[in-house]
Amino acid sequence: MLRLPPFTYLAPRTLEQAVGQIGEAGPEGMLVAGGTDLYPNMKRRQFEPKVLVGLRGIRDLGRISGTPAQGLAIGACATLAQVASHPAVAEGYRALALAAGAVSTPPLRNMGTLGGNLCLDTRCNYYNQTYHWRKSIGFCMKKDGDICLVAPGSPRCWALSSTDAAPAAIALGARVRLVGAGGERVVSAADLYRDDGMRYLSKAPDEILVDVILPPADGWRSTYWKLRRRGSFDFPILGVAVALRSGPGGVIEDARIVLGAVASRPVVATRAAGLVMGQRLTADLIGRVAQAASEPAKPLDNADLTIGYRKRMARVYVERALRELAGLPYDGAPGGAR
Amino acid sequence: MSVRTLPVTRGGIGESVPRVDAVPKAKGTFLFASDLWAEDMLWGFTVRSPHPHARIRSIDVSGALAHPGVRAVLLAGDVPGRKTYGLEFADQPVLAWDRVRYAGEPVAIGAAEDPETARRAGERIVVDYEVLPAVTDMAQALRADAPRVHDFGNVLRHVHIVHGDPDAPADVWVEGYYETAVQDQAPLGPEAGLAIPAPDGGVDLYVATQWLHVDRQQIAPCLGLPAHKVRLHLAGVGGAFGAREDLSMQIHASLLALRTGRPVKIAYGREESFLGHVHRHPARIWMRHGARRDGTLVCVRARILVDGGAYASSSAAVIGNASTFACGPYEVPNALVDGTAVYTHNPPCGAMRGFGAVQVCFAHEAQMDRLARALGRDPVELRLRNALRTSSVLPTGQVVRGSAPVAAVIRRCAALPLPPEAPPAGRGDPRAYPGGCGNVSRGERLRRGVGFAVGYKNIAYSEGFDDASAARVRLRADAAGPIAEVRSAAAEVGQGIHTILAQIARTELGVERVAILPPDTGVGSAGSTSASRQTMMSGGAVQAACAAVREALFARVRRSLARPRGELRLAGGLVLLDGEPVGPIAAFLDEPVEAERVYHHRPTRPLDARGQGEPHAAFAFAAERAVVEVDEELGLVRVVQIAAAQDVGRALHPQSVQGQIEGGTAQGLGLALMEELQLRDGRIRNASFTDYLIPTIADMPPVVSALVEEPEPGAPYGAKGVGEPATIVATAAIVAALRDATGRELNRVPVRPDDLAGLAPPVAPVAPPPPPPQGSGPEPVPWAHGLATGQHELLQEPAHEGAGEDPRPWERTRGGTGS
Ligand SMILES: Cc1cc2nc3c(=O)[nH]c(=O)nc-3n(C[C@H](O)[C@H](O)[C@H](O)COP(=O)(O)OP(=O)(O)OC[C@H]3O[C@@H](n4cnc5c(N)ncnc54)[C@H](O)[C@@H]3O)c2cc1C
Ligand code: SF4
Repeated sequence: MLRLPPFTYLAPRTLEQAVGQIGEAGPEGMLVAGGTDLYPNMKRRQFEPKVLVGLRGIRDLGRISGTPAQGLAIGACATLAQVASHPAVAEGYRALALAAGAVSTPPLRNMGTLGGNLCLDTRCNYYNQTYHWRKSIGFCMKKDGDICLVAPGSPRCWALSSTDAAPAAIALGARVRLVGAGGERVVSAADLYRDDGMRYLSKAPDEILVDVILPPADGWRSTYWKLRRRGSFDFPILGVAVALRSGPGGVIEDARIVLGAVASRPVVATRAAGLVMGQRLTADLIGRVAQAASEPAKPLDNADLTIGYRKRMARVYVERALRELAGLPYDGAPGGAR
Repeated sequence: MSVRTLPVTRGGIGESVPRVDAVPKAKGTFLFASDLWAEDMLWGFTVRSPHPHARIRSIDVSGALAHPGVRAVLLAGDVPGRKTYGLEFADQPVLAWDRVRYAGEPVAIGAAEDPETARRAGERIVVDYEVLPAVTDMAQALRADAPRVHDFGNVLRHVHIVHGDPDAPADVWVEGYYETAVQDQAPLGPEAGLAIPAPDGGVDLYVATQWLHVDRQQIAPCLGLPAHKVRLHLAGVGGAFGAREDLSMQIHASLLALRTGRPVKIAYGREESFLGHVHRHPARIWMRHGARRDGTLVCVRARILVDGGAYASSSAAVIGNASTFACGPYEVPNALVDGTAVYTHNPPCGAMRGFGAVQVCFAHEAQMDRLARALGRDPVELRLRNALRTSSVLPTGQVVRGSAPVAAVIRRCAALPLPPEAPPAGRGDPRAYPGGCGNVSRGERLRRGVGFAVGYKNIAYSEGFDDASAARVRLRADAAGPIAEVRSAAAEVGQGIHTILAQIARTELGVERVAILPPDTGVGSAGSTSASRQTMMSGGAVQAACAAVREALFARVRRSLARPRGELRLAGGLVLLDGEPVGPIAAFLDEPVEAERVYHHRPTRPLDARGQGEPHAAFAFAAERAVVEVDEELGLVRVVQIAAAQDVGRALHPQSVQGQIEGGTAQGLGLALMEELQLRDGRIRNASFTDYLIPTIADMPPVVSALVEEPEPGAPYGAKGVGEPATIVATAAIVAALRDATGRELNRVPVRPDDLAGLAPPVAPVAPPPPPPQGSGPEPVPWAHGLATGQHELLQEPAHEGAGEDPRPWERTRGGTGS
């Protein structure tokens, strides 16, 4: 049986208390929200914090406020189930609703939070294993060791960003509010992530993600596509979030395409998005955009299914997601137009 | 005129009565083995080898023993009795002493005051290994220069079957190569048990297992105790599927309890469960089928290789099954089958639902489809034309004597309604499309395919093994009326045997109150809950014991009645004479009536050097038709519908039969599409439910089933076991449907998205089929080395306690069966 290591659990009622407690705990402390990522990892000894500061008791962190017209603020402790089913999210920020609704299973979505999802630890076949397994094969640098088992000789860790919500949040132009001992700051969701499997967040460990701020949704349409083998449970093998703002006559005025689970951070396909600016979406253009968007995807052999397949799917998924937003049928579709 | 209502007994056979364990299981109050607890109990732990093959230079336990809260650490030298054990052959060390042969092999055990202390103590045990070259490929294991897993070599058993003239000419030949991956039983309840030392120097072990008596047969000699001092009690079993046929923590917990004088619990976690039980054998199969132009099969040639891993477990029987079922449920006048099970340094493989028949069914059904294509014939018609029937001769020379409604099973399955056409793209529920829960499809680019498969398997044990079942039934009365108490050691593993036994007692004794007493070794062996056998075997024992009780009761009734002639019957709590009530059953039960009976199936005979004999007792057949949708670009699959027809003899509890068909299909779907225990250099890479994928409810299609009821002569009520056939055919049917949808070859399961998206070619054999190994077979090789133990010994034991040790018991078993 895998058991949690011993730790002290603190349950602050206010953000100030939480900031104080996590600061005081120093490197021995960690934040926890739903615990659906952290607790299993602790059982496998990926983390052994002595102090956990639980955020679920802080009322304000669970709120969702605003409207699609003005913009929305989603508290970090809103559960994924709440995010997935919230009418304002579904109306203005469909990619986020779809992403939250595609995480794992209903029980985990009832426990797991948006903030926890955005801060989700990166994943790797050699890392998400029990202590015994990792010891048998030799530890890697992400925990307890000093080499990378996927890419021996690599000076860095290539563990994968596997959050479903992050690509959607980035595509929607979300910003996140962080509060720490040094005060408050707001950064774009894209800037929250670093291309490093070990230090994958740009925030300090004692900074608390307080809420996710979504800009006004006018004119934007978005979607999120997730690749997994089963109809439930699985982490994304690939996630594609696309958001488009179109003007009169269907001309695309702004576009964001973000790929998840292909690198240590969500990958923003800037060049591909640039191809559609000022254009109308045609089948031909979509094909070229999809090709360009999949180029930065460089999967390694540290997740389910083969590298070749995951790479190919990046193109297929971007193409389908764009077609969905353009209202186009897929090539060779027996059913024709929708 | 008054209407007379005949007394009836409710809840008898044929009714889908509520299961006896339904409410506690649904409420969560049912206690599984991992919930066991005793006052003052210690927690056991196991230290396992990280290497697939290594010499143990030294083991330093001082750090663990010095740790506060650690009460014992035991090594191989502390095993007081026999150092090895095994279900069929005692080739597996209780604890490794000089060598480890697979990654995960137990090297040391210990007990501590709490689980966290136990875990830390385990980490403080230092084992110095000298890593040795390992053989982890089944074909390489047969090469002369391969590292030897055991001193006697790497061949575990070779089965050679020659039938008719294997060189017979045929009009059309088709040839194929097939591979199946390692599948895991993935029972939701991990291995667990609690050993409590007894004042008599023995031990009481509460454990989740499939066969209490065979466990004891292996445990007692290792503990150096007589069998009667080792008492086993069945704890709540959270699924088995073969994984609990072999021992896991049983000897370890008992050793620790005896050493510390305190109760010791061992409960594996998920990863340890993957390391601590055997798996389904991976297989490589070469097949050639020859037929006449009209579709009649002329000849089948098959070469089968299965990887048994480091220890024998039931590999000898699995390769026996794979070889004897290689030709499928068809009349094949000429055949040559060579099946080899090898030892490697991979984790051991053993029993799993379908037991050798799954792998060959995947191959022979693909071959039948190939043949249909080559002949331009309908695949269902081709199967019907060649279908086995009662009196058919099998490749082993065995004549099918029981019921064999293969044609009926095929026809019923083919006639089940097809699902509606796929809704036009964009109209359906997105979740109903391949990968649909990921929002990836609106129904475009889908290809639908339909596949059909037929398969069969033996019920109960084979090749001369008389796996009898005992049961004791006591009929008594209390203030509430008559009650039947059934005492059977049959393991309820979730399949519903306890409910069936209660139904049989109701039908036979005409009482509605039945108590199923807790299964333990205080009654005779019920044999294993495996091989789809308990309904037939323990059901037969309970039926016979009830009949004996009834006769004794009737003798009493006749003594007390004035007109003793006429036909006596029991129903609805009453004794009836020629249909007329003569009094309540309870009135004749001042003294309880009790009887114990043992049920034997039809004797079987082992295979000879040419694979001829009468290896199997009875057969069950199944057919499934799968309808799938494949998104060709994504390589994702949605199974739309499974239609199943199964030969069940007689459905004693129709809902349970359907449940077995659906559950069996889910496991077959798992092997077809996702379940693969990934091994690299002998190490399991995905020992978790995050990475070892089993189907969820979102992946399961509706299953429509038809039960074909043609009673099996000699079986209770004609009932056949139903647990395995659906698993055997589901994989083959689904992959056939995938081939139909995509036109791809798909010769390896599980089929991956890569294969369906055209990114991976069909697997090709790394080498030509290896020649049959010299000088072995049909006897399993460990047999010749005096390693026979376990279930073979059990046959020598009287039904009750106190059997002595028999030095070479297997000789008698074997000698007695050939005549
Ligand atoms: C079987 C299984 C399947 C899963 N499948 C998926 C999946 O498909 N997709 C997916 O994206 N995830 C998946 N997850 C991961 C996880 O359940 C979700 O990502 C969930 O949203 C995490 O939220 P949480 O609140 O439980 O996070 P926690 O476990 O509480 O925390 C996760 C991390 O975030 C940090 N953290 C949490 N809240 C804050 C905050 N407000 N400020 C700063 N740091 C914070 C914690 O310190 C910790 O490091 C799965 C998990 C399991 C066990
Ligand atoms: S990518 Fe390398 S370093 Fe990072 S977790 Fe995987 S094996 Fe370890």
